[in-house]
Amino acid sequence: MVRTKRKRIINSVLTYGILGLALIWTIFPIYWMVKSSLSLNSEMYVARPNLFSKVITFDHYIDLFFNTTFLHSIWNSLIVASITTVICLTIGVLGAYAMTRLSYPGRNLFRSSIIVSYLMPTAVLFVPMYVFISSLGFYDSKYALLIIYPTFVVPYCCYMLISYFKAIPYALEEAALIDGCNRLQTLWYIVIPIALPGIAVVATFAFTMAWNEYLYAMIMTTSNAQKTATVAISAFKFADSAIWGRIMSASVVCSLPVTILYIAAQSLLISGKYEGSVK
Amino acid sequence: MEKNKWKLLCMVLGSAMMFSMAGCSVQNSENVVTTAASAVTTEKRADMQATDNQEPQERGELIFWDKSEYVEGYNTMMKAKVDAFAQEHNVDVNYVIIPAADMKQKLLAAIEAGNAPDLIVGDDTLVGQFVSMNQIADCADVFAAIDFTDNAKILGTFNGKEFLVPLAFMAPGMYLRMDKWLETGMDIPKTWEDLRKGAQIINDPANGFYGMGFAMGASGGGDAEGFCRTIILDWGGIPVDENGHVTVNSPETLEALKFIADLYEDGLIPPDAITGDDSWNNSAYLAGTVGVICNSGSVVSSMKAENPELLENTQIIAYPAGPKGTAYTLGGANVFGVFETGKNTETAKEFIKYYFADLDNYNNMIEAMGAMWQPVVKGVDDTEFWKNPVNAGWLANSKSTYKTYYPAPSDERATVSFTNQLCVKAVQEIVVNKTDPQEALNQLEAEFNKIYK
Amino acid sequence: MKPRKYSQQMIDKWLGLLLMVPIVLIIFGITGIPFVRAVYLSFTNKVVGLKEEFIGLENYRSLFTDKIYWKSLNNTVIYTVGCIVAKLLAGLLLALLLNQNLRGKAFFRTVLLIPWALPGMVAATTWRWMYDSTYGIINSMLLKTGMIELPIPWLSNPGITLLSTMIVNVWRGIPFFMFSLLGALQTLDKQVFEAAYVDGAGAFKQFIYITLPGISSVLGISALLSTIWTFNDFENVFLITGGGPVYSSSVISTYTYDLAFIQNSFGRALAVAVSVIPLMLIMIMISRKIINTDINQ
Repeated sequence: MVRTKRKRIINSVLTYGILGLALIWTIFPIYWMVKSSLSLNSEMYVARPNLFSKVITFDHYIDLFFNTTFLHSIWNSLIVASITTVICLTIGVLGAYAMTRLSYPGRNLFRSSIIVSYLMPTAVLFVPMYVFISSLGFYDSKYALLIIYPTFVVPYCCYMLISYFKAIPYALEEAALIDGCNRLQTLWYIVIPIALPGIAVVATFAFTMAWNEYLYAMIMTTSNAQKTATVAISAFKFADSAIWGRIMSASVVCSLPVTILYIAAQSLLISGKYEGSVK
Repeated sequence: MEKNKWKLLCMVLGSAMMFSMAGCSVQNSENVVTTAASAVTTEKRADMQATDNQEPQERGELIFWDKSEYVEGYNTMMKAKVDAFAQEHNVDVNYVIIPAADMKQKLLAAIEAGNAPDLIVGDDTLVGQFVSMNQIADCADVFAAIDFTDNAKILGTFNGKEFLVPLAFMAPGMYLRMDKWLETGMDIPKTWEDLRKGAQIINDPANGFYGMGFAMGASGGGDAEGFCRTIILDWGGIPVDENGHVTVNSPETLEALKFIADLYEDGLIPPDAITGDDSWNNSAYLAGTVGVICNSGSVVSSMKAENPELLENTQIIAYPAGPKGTAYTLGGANVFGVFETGKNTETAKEFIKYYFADLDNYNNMIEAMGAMWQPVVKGVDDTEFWKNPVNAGWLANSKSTYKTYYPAPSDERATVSFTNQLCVKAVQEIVVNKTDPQEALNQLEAEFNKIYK
Repeated sequence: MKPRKYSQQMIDKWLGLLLMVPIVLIIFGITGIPFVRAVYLSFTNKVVGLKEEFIGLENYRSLFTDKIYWKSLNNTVIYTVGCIVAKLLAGLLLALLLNQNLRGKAFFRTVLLIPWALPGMVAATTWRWMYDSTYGIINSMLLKTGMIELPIPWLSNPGITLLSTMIVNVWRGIPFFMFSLLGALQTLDKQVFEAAYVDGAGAFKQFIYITLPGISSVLGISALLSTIWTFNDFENVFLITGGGPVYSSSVISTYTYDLAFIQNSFGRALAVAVSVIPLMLIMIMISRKIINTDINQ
């Protein structure tokens, strides 16, 4: 598109300006967290702290990796979050496709009632949930989370995917159906490729939701072998004291896998995928 | 484009397969991946793929949820004792460490689901709440078998029976920044009024230093309520008397509440004290931003590990007295709680007796805990450790410490009124909502009456 | 091409019902059973560990005169509405900006996402540390640069505490909107924009008539989900102010926690939780109408 040079310059300045501000707003607490994880204990909390520390130390990370089972907790989180994402994405894609393209009795009812999962705050729901899940035989197990997490990740996946699928014009699938494809083939060959940016978003967020969850993980896992990362971080706090070095370094490490996932997902955000396909 | 779709799918499926395969192998080696501080000995009731590994002969079982302590040595040593017990008594012990913030929720959920542990360690107000939920077993037999001090026995009595088996006292101490106090030119404060005068001199909010760092938050801890009750008692007020009558609405209590409110309103305490939890005053002192706090010995342990210089500048002083001349110290203790609803109540009691049979080990644990622990049994006072003047103060405090809800009788009404932080909330009404102090006191009386009806 | 035995409609019907089965199991089975029990318990005087007694509407009746309940409800509405508006507008703006061909696009997109990657308690703990009036960096910097004279009482002034928690919620939540809307913007067909440009429509008109309708369903759903999550947000408020001095920043979720685990009245806590369900349903319906999405097309 041709635009006047002036317009382009204004656009650039505004864009980068706003993005720059957003960057500072976003980065600042993260910077503080990382800086604290690299600070000496004596500089951890002081009155009127400075923006930069004079000394950097990796002691807290070394302490975290060698004196605690935190890395194992990260591993547990990885297992739980990955499997949850796969399960929920599969159910979500298939379910969302059904709820947008197929017609069957009760479809509207299903679409509206999925929200029921979110009506009660976890802060109290977890007690009856724990009673129910442990009656199924789970005790101190991270695998119990694979049953619980879908209850709040699947509705998210369904709703987001329904809206992404709806934005895709039906004409393409109609053409395919006329040509002899069945429903699942149209889903696989047409809908999914076009909705791939949306699916990538949903997948990364589903993973994030499962990864960051604290309350159910705390209730379902007790021993160090089963704990997930978020629960492990809270173990560094005691009745009235805390090992801040470990908390800050664990927080940084805990945020890494999801960040790496986001970077990987960027490559799937491609634009304008079906240009000209309607014609 | 096709390539990208396949890339995504392969990535996702591949990772899932890899993780689930790795997950299986990790699970088998899970028991190996542990550190000394927190290993799980056996996981009999592990997960849904519970392989049937019953031993041929009769083995007892014990599920022990221990309190997580800042001093890792505590958990290590407790676990060692647990392992020894398991060996000698042919018992499978499932020993886990629960962080403080999670303990109550996990316990409540477990009780509801019927898989509560057999034995826990927690502070007396926490475990006391479970007594009133009919969860804790009567331990009179344990008390008979162990030589507890009189003060310890008083602590363990609840509802007239001996439910809470003391593990160690957590006496409070008053931490004073000597380097700052010397600037005032005053002697060590003997009364609260002295302390206030000195604090006013060293108070310097513009540079981030406050004379006092007393806890005043209502976020569910014990520090703030303990502080308020101390002042009330020192002023001659009595929240609930020994017969269970609510006598909080008195001129003495009014003066006490006004005193605390004035400290805050005069800017002697950092404003954030109002929303802090139990760790707030620790952090404030460790950050060097306050001149005096009241706390258990946990701050000493923190300073040793993180800020030895601050430790040198700190002196633990005796609690100052109020206008009536009395100086109360209110404190709690770590106690064992034996769950009646667990399946192995007798085994749990056996363990407690076993634990206290080894006084040397108990002594070692006390010394490892530093100033945080004081003995509850007779026969361990006379050691080098306690002769050291730095430590002697803590021991003395533990012998003269009253229960946090003194002088009310030990029952659930007392623990509930304490854990609901009624007195702190009254002070907050005065300083935050600018309620008239007498009005706030009337409300406080009403709240107490709701519990003590 | 083989002749079809069954009509497309019949295949659709059975396939649709089949694909609903896992959803039904998870949402109505696994969530439903504890949910029903929780609703039942709200009509009792349940204390954990003791047997409950049915007391009918007693818990609910007591809520009418409970000042803290109404304060919490008020705070929750302010918290939810304020946070959603902020997150939505900021997220939309950033998504639009990032949809262009920029230099360093991937960098911006990744970094701006990180707040959402942090666990809630990590974000809350870090911000709480930053807010402190003595050792917090925010006050420290404001004081050092001379912008203020006294530290701002983020955590102690009852008028500000709710705002402090809202800031953190917004900080964490903007990436959710940004990324979701970015995904939606990416699925829009560039050719439609080109055609509009040729027809003489400027950037603003294109936004209103092409972009907005195109992403409306995603916008609506993101707003809906975020509304529910913000409404039930617990860790954030609890870890930063604990409900604020004298309940000034108390929200419904922290109040239910207080009732259940500090005051030990589980029945009353559940009554509070159940009592706001109608409100949530109303908010859901309103947000759907406003954004004009109908998932029940």
